[in-house]
Amino acid sequence: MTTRREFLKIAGVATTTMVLPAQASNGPHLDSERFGVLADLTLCIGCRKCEWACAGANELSSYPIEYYDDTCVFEKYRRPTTTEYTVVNRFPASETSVQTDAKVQCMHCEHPACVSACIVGALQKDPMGPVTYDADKCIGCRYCMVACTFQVPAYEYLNATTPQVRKCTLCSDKTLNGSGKPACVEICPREALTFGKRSELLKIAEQRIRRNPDRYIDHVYGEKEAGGTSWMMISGTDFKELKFPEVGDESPAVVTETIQHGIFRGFSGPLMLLGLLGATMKAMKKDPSDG
Amino acid sequence: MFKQIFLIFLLLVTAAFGQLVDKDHATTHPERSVNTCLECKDCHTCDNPTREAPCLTSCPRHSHHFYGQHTSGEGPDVVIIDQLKNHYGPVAFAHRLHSAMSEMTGGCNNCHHYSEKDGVIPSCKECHLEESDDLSISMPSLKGAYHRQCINCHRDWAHDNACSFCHEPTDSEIPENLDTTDIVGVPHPRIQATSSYNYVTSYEDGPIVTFHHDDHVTLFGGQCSDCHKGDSCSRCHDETKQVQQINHLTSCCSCHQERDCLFCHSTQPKPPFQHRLTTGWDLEPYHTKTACKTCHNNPGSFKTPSAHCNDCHIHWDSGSFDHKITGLVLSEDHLDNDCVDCHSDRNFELQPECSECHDEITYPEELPGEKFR
Amino acid sequence: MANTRPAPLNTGVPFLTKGTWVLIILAVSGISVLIARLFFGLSFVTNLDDQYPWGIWIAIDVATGVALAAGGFTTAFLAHVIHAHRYHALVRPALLTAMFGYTFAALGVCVDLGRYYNIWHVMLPSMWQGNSVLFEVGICVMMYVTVLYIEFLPIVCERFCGRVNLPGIFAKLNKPVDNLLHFLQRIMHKFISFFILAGVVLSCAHQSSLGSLMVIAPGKVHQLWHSPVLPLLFLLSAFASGLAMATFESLVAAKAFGLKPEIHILRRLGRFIPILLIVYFGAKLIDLVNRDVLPLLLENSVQSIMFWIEITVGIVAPTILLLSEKIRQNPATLLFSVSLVVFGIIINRVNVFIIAYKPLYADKIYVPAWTEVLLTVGFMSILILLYRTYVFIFPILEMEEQGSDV
Repeated sequence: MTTRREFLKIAGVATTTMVLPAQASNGPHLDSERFGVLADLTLCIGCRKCEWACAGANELSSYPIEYYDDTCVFEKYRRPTTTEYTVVNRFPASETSVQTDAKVQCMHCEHPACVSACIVGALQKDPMGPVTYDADKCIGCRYCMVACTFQVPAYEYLNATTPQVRKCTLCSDKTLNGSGKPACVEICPREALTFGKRSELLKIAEQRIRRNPDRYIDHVYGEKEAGGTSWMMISGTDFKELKFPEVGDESPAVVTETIQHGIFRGFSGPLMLLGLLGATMKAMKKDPSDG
Repeated sequence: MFKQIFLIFLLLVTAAFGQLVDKDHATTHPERSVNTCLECKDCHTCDNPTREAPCLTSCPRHSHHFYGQHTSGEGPDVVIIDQLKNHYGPVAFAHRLHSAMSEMTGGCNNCHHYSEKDGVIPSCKECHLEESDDLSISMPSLKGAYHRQCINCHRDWAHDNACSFCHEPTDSEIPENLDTTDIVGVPHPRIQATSSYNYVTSYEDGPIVTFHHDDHVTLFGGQCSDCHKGDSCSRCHDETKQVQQINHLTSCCSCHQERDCLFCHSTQPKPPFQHRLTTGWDLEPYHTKTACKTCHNNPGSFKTPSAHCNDCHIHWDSGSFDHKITGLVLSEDHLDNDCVDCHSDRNFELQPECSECHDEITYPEELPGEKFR
Repeated sequence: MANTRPAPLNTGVPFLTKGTWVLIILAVSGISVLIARLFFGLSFVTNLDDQYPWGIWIAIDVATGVALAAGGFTTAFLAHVIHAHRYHALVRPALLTAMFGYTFAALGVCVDLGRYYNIWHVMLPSMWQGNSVLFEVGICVMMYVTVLYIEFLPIVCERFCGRVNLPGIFAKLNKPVDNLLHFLQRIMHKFISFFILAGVVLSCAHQSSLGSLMVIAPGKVHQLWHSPVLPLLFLLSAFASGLAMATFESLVAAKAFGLKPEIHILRRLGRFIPILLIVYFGAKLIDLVNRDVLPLLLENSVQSIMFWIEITVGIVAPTILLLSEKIRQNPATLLFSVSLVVFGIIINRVNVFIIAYKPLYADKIYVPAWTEVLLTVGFMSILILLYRTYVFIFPILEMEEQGSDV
């Protein structure tokens, strides 16, 4: 399967560029000390305190903490919105699984499709982990939303003049300068969320799964999904049942970037075509009788 | 030259031996001898731990790290957890009540997952720091430890995550004299248990086993933890949950060592325990209020009384005892008999003997009087 | 043929007809939607949401608009690069369509952009984002629009050199403007070849990149369309679309303006269309087989039905029709055939951008709001009106010799 995909990718690029070989894309520069968050869904109880903390930290809304005790919201599957960067969904117990609560937010991919798609670089992947957004650069094309593998960014459609793309920031104002953890991690009463070095978190995740094989399914969601993500989840319920998309191990940005770089690296493709056409033009001109 | 070769050889042998010793250590490790499932990395954070630098993980969460049980009375009655009060008020944790209940569900190490070798249980915050740092990233901080511990059970049976379940409101004070039988101000309701159960078993000769819960609790003085060992909170507390059956083989048989299957098994439901029907000895009218153990003081057994009637009724004798109260009025010709004539050795629990006077007569086929009850 | 040359329209057709009024009304309604969008935001006039960030403004105004404006570069290629002079008559109308097509595609994007006033960021080298397919599309379209306007300059010069007659106080500027036009004419004469070549290259680049746009969302685009060779398919279909559109315009314009259809040219041009369609269809088929998705054609879904329509009505039917010399010779049947090609292209672009797009967590299907449709229709009306205006003013269409010197 991989070989076929590989073949197709190369074939696609090669045919599009006609002459240029594929140029693999390496993705953004990443720091080896970069951080992330590990969410242990077996520990999450759906208290929604992360939603409250997130709303406060990002100044999204100002409901009191009791507002989030409401469990009626679990009746409907929810997605992050412009005023809720993170939401918790509850999945009732089924024949094959126990009741599971799962938090949704931007996964902060290692090789984010949104960053690759962004036309002006308003979305950036910080080497330390967060995918940051600069509203002043943004032109509001919403291609990031089309591109996002996890369908996360939300958009202020109601705002006529200065709409923004809204998504979890990984509290980059605190985490990037080392002054704190993300608000959701800080408040989580059962510490279902662990903030730390991504490499370290992966070890912890594997350790927990290995020690409690009955409690967890053997899968760290986000370790490899879409080329890896800063947020990673471990769970006792299959991630498909928790509505996490089934994503390949490669970032979708790799394909488009390979095509893009294949064609436009140093403008060689277009320049070649220009030369070819110019030569044709000149060669054919000697025959004015045509027509 | 030869010397050098010899030295190298010696070095190699030493190294190989070292390897051997190391390997040996891995299999004869004291912890491994207790729990063979244990892997090195469960306790050690580094790949090659040594005795000098064992790089142990702090407070490993494994039951085999808990030594020695305590009784529920040993710990504090109420613990006020207020180190971290922030968004909510402190928690008054009814330790005694929880520890008492824990006896049904596995004991202290239900919560206290670690103790020193001498059985001393460290307080939570000795290991769980208020603010976890990079080194303790794999261990929950104090807040996480508390919440994980409490909510695990509470959520399991109450299906409730409400913070106010445990937390006092932010502005409230903890009352000074807390009732230790309370769970945070709410008295524990009387346990409502079904008085009897009829179990249908696959035993052909007596498929039905009737279990009278009330009798076991009120008459036989059973403690909850006698049968409810290793149980979960939700077994009693979760009404939505299908009741899981207790393992009767171990629970019942720990007391009932009868080899007679029909002691429990029957073809039809058995009535609750009635002293007269089951033993033939009527408690009416004078012994109804007598505690069982006045007569049955053998621990774990009610089979034969440990006391004799004369232990209490020391002045009873023929002439001073109205036999009518036993439900049998003696006939004229037996009225003047001495007690020992029928009750040999004054053992009134045994069947009376007629052979002393009569040759062909046995009790109870023929009676020395008239039974009126 | 020798006695015709491009000239402003002179067939006596009035500028304002009933049809024109309808177009004006549609244009005005479209503009009112635009105003509503500017004041009340996208949510007021569109059905877009977080699941469906792109609607028909991108699918039709931009993607389809650009594909249909491919006539500009395909005819330029035929007439100027390989010097097939017989097709010269088609170059100017196609150029004009392309110019307006692209202008409105760009406008369509701007309306759709949340922060349209930041569009200039795309030109700022400090914000260039080479990984972005959209950046590539954006920069190419911007450059190509410029090239198209430059390519149009000689027509302006031809019309007004020596005839600049500005009204009122601007009359003083008559001389300098005239000089400027003369200067431009001289310059353009030297560089026009370069701009024509650049136009073809830029077109190839962004026509294909439009296809790459959806490649980044493998989980959301239906497997019948999502393919790494989507850019190639877009380019190939754009070639066919360009020629079909040039034929379509020529025939429609002839009808609208009471001209004789240039069937002798179109008949020859029509030969190429089935060839291009076969190449496109072949590539599409190989891609489907390669990706093992043929079974999807038999599934009972909107997607598979739309795919069948796209293939049969848009590709197979016109290919068969246009292979026949008889059909190519008759303006009515030729128009019908190329209309099918144009329809096929529209369906294809709408399929890729809307029908195939299945967001991961959508609880409803995107159906454009009537205001969205109205804006699209309004923009198209403006485009047609502008085209109409320009053929009345500028020498675009081939006229009989005697009527040319107005």
